[in-house]
Amino acid sequence: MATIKTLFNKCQILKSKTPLLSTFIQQNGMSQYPTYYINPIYKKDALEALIKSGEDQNLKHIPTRAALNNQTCSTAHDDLVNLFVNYVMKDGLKPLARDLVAQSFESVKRLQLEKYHKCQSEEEKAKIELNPKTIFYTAINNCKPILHLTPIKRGGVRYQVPVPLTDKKSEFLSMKWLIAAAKEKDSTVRFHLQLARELIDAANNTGRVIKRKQDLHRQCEANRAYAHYRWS
Amino acid sequence: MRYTAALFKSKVARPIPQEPVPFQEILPLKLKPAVSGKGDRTSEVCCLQEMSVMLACFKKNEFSQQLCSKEIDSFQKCYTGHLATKKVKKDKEAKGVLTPGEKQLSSKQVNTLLKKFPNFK
Amino acid sequence: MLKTALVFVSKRKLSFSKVKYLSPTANPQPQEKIQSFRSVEHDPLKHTYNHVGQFYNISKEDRNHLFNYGGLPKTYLTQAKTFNETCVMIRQPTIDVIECLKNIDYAKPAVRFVIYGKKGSGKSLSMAHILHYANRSNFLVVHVPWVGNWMRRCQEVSNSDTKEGFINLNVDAAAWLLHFKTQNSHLLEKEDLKIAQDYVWSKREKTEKGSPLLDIVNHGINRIKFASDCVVIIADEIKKLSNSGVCKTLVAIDGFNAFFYPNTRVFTEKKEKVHPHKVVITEAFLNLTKNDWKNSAVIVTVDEIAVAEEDQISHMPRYLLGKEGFEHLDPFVPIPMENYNQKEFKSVMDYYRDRRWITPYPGQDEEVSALSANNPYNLIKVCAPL
Repeated sequence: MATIKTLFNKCQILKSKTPLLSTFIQQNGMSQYPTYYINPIYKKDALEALIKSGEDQNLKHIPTRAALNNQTCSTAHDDLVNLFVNYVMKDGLKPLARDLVAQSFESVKRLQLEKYHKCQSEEEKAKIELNPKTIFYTAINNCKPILHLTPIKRGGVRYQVPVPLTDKKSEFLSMKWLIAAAKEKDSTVRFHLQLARELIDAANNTGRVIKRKQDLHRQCEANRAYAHYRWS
Repeated sequence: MRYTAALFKSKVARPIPQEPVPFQEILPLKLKPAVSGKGDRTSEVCCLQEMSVMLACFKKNEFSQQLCSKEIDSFQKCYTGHLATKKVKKDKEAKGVLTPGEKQLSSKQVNTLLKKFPNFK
Repeated sequence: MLKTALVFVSKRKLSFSKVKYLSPTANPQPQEKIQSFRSVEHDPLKHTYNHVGQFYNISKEDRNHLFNYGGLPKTYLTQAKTFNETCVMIRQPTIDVIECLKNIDYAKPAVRFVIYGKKGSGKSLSMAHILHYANRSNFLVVHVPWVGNWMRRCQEVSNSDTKEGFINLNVDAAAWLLHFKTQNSHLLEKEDLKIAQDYVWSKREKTEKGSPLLDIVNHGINRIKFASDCVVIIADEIKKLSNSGVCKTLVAIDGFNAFFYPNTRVFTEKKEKVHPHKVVITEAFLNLTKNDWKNSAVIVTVDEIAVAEEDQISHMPRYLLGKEGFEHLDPFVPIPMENYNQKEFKSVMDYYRDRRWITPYPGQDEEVSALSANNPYNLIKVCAPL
C-alpha cells in the first residue's frame, strides 16, 4: 500500500510538469502529428471567410497538419464525391476508385446528353439535368432511408425493431446500396456504366436502390408494433 | 406410506425460527454518501407518435416519400431535437452542474450535492 | 444540328419580342448568337488562316463517305456521338498543308509531308481534315486509316503464292480495298481510270488491259485470296495513271512509321516474327510514298502509338522512322503538331460548354489548362467527369 502511495506522489510531481514533458513525448496513436496540431483549411472560400471574420488571427500560430493528397483547393473538388470514392475503394486502390467514379460521371453525362439530343422541344431539354454532380447529390439524397431495423432481445425473443437513423448513417447506407447495386450486373457490363445508370435512376426516384429503400420502409411499417422496444 | 412417514418425523430439515428473530448486523447501519446511477435509465421511447403517423402515411401513399414530406420532416425534426437535448443533458450531467430549483436530479448531481453536504455523525 | 441551332435562335427572338422597350435604342437587335468558336465556313476548300482555332462541321454524308471504315480516332468518335455532330477544329498545321496542296506545282515530283507530334496532339484529326479537303477538290485519295492495325493487330496471315518468302494479310487488305472503294466511289465510276496491262490471276480469272480500275478493286474484295496482290497492282496502276495526268492523287497514311518498325506482331506459321518489309502490302505503300511520280502529294503521320510501348521514347520522325525510313522519305516537309495554344484552348472550352459537356465554374479554364497541359487528348480526359 505504501509503495502505491509513493508512486502516486511521484505521479503528482510528474503531473505538474506534463506540459514540459509533452513537448518531447506526445504520441497521438499512430499519427505522426501530436494532438495539438489542427486540421488544414484547404478550400479557398473557407479560407477567405476565415480571413474576413478575423478568426485567422487565432489560428495563426497553431501548428497545422499538411493537407491530404486528395484535398485540393480546386473548385471542382467535392467532399461528398471524395467520400464516395473512399467507399468504392478496395484494397487501398484509390487511383482506381477515383477513375471509376470519374468514368461513371462521364457515362452519366453521355447518357443524359443522348436523351437531351433526342428531345424535340426546348422545354423537354430544359428538364434534363446534365450536371453529373447534381445528379449524384439528388441520387444520394433520394436513396437515404429514414428508418431501419435492428434486432433487440426482449424476453428471450429477438425482435426486429424499427429505429430512426442519423443523417450520417443514412448517407452511408445510401452510398453503400448504390455501390452494391452497381456491382450487381452482368460480367460484360462495366462497373462505371452500371453505376451511372443507377445514379440516373435514383435521381429520377426509380430503380433498384429506391426499391431497396422502400422495401426496408415496408418492413419497418410491418414491425411498427415493436417500435416501443427500442432504447431511447 | 413414505410421505406420511416424512411428515411425522420429529426432526424437520429446517428448524422453525424462534421468535423474536435475533438481529445480525451484516452491513453497517447507515446510508452511503453516494447513489449509484442505475435508476436513471428510463426507457422512454421518443417520437413514437410521429413515427406511427409517418408510417401510416407511407402505407397510404405506397411508400413514396414526396407525398409524405411533411410527416418525414416532423419526424426527423423530433428525432434530431431529441438527440440534441439528450446530448445537452448528458454533457450537463457529466459535469454535475447544479441548477438551483431543479426537481429531477441526475445521479451525478445528487452525488455532487451529497459531497457538498456530507452527513457527519 | 444546324436546324436545331436555328430553332434555338428563333426561340430567342420570340422571347425578345415579349419585352416592351421604352426607348428604341434600348431595343436590342435580335441577332444570331455569334459563336466565335464555330466557323461560318464548313467547306474545307475555303478554309484560310482566318478560321484557325474554330470548329467546322463535317456533314453526315461526307463522314459516311470518307470515314465509314475508319479514319477517325475512337475517342473522337464517342465524343462526336455524344455531341450529336462531327465537328473538327481547324488548326494551323492543317491549313499549312492545305495551302501547300493548293499551290504545289503538280508537274513536279510528289511532295511529301510528315506530320509528327506528341501523343494525342491531333495528328489523325488533322489528317481527316486534309482528307476532307482532298475529297472536295477531287483528289484520288489513297488513305490508310492506321498502319498499326496491320502490323500490330492483323486479322489473318498467309504465305504469298506470288512472292517467295512474303506474307499476305488478305483480310486486312480486302478491308482496305473496301475503304478505298467507298472513299473514291465517285471517281472510280468514271471511265478514264483504266489499267495499262493484263493481269492473270489464275487459269480462268484474268483482268484485261483497258478495263476500269474498279474491276481490280472488286476482284480483291470478292476473291480475298488475291486481295494483297490487288493492293500492290492498284498502287502501281494509280502511279501510272497519275503520271499520265488522268487523275490527281493524295496518299495519306496514318502511322506510317509502322512500316519500318521491325518488332511487329505478324507471325509466320513457325511463329517467326515477320519484318514489315516481308509483308506484301507494305510494298504497295512504300512504292506510293516514293517521289518518282508526279500529279500527286503524299501526307504521312508518324506516331508513337504505332510502335510497341517499350520503344515509345521520342515522337520525332528520325527516331520513329529509323535510318531506312527517314532516307526513304527524305526530302520531306515536316509538319509539327503542337498542343493547343491559348486561342484554340479557349475555343475548345467554349465549344464544350456550348455542347453542355462541362458545367462551368469559376477559374475552370486556367485549372483545366494546367491539368491537361493543353494536350487535346488529355483535355478530353480531364473534362470527362466535370
